[in-house]
Amino acid sequence: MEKWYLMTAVVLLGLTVRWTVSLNSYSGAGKPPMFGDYEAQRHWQEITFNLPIKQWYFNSSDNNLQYWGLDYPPLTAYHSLLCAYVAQFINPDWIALHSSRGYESQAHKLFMRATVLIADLLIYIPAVVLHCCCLKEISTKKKIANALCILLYPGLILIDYGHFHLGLALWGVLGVSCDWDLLGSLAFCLAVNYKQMELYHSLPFFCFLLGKCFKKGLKGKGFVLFVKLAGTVVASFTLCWLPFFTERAQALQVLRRLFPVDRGLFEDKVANIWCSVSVFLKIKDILPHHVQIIVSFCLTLLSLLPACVKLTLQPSPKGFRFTLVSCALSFFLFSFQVHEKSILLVSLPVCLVLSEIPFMSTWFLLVSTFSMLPLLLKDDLLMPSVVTTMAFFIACATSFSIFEKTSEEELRLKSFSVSVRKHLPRFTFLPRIIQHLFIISVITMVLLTLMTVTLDPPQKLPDLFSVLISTELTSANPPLLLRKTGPELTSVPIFLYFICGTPTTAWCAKRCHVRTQDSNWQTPGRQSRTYT
Amino acid sequence: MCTNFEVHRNWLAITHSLPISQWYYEATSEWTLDYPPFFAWFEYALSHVAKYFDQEMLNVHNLNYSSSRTLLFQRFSVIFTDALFVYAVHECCKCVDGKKACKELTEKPKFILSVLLLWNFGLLIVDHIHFQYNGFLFGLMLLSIARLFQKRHMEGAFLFAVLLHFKHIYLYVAPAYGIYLLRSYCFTANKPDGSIRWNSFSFVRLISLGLTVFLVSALSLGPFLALNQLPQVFSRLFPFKRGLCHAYWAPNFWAVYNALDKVLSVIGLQLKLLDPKKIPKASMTSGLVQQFQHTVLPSVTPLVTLICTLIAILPSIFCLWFKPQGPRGFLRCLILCALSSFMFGWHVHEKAILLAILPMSLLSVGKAGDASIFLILSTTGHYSLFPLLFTAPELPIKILLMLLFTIYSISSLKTLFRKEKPLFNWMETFYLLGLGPLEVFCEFVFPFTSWKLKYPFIPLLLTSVYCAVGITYAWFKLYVSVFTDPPVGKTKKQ
Repeated sequence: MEKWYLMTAVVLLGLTVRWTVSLNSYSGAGKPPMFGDYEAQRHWQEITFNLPIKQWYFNSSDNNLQYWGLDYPPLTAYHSLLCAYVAQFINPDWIALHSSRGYESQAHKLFMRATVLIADLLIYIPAVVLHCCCLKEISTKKKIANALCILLYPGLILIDYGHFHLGLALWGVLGVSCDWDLLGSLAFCLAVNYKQMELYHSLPFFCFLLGKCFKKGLKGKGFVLFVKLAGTVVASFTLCWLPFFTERAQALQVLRRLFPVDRGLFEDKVANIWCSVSVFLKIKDILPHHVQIIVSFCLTLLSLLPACVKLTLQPSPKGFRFTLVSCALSFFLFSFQVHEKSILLVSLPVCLVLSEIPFMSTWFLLVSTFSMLPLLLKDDLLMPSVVTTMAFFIACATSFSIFEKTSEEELRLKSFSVSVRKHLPRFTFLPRIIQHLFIISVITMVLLTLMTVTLDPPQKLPDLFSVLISTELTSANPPLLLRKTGPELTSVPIFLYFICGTPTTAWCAKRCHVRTQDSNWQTPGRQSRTYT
Repeated sequence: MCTNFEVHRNWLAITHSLPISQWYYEATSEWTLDYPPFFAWFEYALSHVAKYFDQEMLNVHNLNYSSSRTLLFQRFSVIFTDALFVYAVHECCKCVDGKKACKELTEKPKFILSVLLLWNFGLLIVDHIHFQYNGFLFGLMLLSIARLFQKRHMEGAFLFAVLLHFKHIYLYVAPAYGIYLLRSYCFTANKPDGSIRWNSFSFVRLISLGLTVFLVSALSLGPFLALNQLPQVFSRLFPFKRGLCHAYWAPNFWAVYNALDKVLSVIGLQLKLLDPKKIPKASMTSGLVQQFQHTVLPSVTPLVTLICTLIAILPSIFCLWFKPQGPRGFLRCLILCALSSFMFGWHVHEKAILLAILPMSLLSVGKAGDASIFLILSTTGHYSLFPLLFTAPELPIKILLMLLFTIYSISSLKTLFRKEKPLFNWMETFYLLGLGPLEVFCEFVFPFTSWKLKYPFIPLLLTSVYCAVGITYAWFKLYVSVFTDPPVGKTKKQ
């Protein structure tokens, strides 16, 4: 590539931003007794290093599952083990059994950050770069701009933990869309084994590959491909789970840890359907537990079925990417036990379609970052999030000139508006409305951020702001969903979202219980460089 | 927290809470006010914003005070004053002639220049990580250079005079300004062969220039003259009591000299030629500013360094006078002045290399030869700033930023001059690549060797000596190019 140096500069820039953000505070810093995700990661290293593999997922005197028990698939555990060996080499205190709980020091923070950065450097960044190089029909400059935007996506940088699995998934997408089916499915299996949340993406993968097999003819080449793929999947799963297959109880226990259905329908404030509906109906109280599970499962399946069917019948890399978005979004909105951070799983495929629908993707990515604001505020990450979001917005706005690309054609809403126009001939104002909506939503985000930071929430409604934030996210989703699979498939969910997205907020806040907003924020200092 | 942060906090406190007559006498902190009056006024103005952030930081006796709000305020003050730098870069980019027709935005000289200046590694780490207000001062300098390019000489002179009263380190380049303005502004015409035409001298211009400079100086120093404090102010501004080299050796001639002395003394001790009792214990690299006595080679006095500097500057000044090449010639002379004083000055700080690197960026997009000098100078100069950031969390940042800047500058300039001969010969390439292993050795290998306790100064010594070689080379090369260049500027100008 003749512009390799610009790509290098982009990658270095991404790394620099990551490292500057990592100098800031982390989740649960100095907050005993439970600390935060940082402590969870460290604890896993401690567990995996000191205990035999059979005890990793079992409660015992040495392994208190209530205290950040391992609840990720085996690959995560292996990764922790690997990190633990390095930690052992540097300072054995970091992973000493029992005594190292809540260990915090500058050097250790540095070590943890370095593990994330290295994983990122080895998996995620090469995948992004390769993805951008493989994009067809756009100029080199656009490819580099695309890479820049994806690497600068603030949500991922700020959360900074889940990186590894996302990277693997990206490899999967890449492999499949570049026709290296086996490699892609292998990478994806590893990703699923790294983090079970990756199952959000599994259906499109399955449908796409299945569709490909169908296309080649079920009797001849298609069947061979199918067998090969199945072999790969089975082999990679077996490899990862090998130590746990020795006993039945082992495997079952791991599964139970991975899918903790006994938790609630949703935690805290998540910008999904259940949280929004509970404003009107306290579903948690009305329906019994197992019914909740079934309802959420059915709704999820129902919402993603159309897109998947379409993909199976007409497999294409582009359709595949769009289906990834829509499926992940369906899971996020409807499924059981969703965490705020899961929005990242939706954002990742959105990053992949960034070059095709820049306006909508940018909007979505901005809103998704914003939706994690309560989480970020809790971790004292306000300053870096503001700076990186601004940098990201500027990067997207300049490299894709998003404001000029809001015609119906570019929003991929042509067929929708044409079909509406059959009934309403004067329906031509959609692009303008969307543009206005975008501006309004950006202004709302800025205002809400300012309010959250400067004002103490009213005593009666401690969660006002966080609920507002999640509402904002839900209401910004529909346009994206609208365009993803064509009008005929999405009209039902859209109305649902619109209804859910606009409840009166004060009333809404009364019904929510958990206080997630911490007004004692402090501003981290090191990070004060604008990325001009 | 780095000392410079405390320095500026202390100055905020001094200027805010004390009357002007005390400014240059205050000595509660060891970081006394040692910048010219305009900078003191600047701090005074800042302090009036600072009080809304945190009143405590304005207390003179609150030594080493730091709070998150103080930090926020200080950092933001740097970022906001950088606006001037951005404006200056914008003006400078206008002066670059975009003859080369490129369709691609990223290959235009203007674009490259703006990136080279705005993303300058040295400026980034010195201002935003280490903490200083260089961005806005360099903004003033670049702006005055741009004004000279635009033939607005009076404005340029005014801006430079103001700059001098902000930070007196810019005295190093004052000769270039003086001679250029005298030669090319006060003499309105040249003979056809380029030599001076004595009867074209314009007294009006000279007087207006003099008046400008005088008025600015009066505004700055006048109050202290009235208070009869001028000697005190000057003794603060020019502290010759400090050592020959700064805590970390700036990569200049004296670094090589000191290193030679050190090596000779070690050899002498090994061979029992020297008496160990007579050798002073003070190690130059212990991190504090202190006197250093040479053991083998003769010690250097401030006067010697002054003479060396003058000798080094003179040829470039002569060249500017006898072979005027318009603003570009002036810029070269300015860079040579900065570099020469960096090479031979007394108590030079390694940050001073920016004084040469930033103006050099302007030249680099114009000609292939200049580009190659710029790349050597900037890469080695920036690398020599590495010891400023020594904590582990800063290590990835400095390496990443350095790589970012270096890779971008080298490859973009290569693309710009791809039709001409390669920018580096094999020796230069080898030298620049050598910086990589050097960094690996200093940061990753050396701390694990047994020498760490016995010779803790080795990484610093290696860094400054290695960089000194590159900077000296760039200095020579620039001098050679100034003397051998045909006077193309004349034809281009008219």
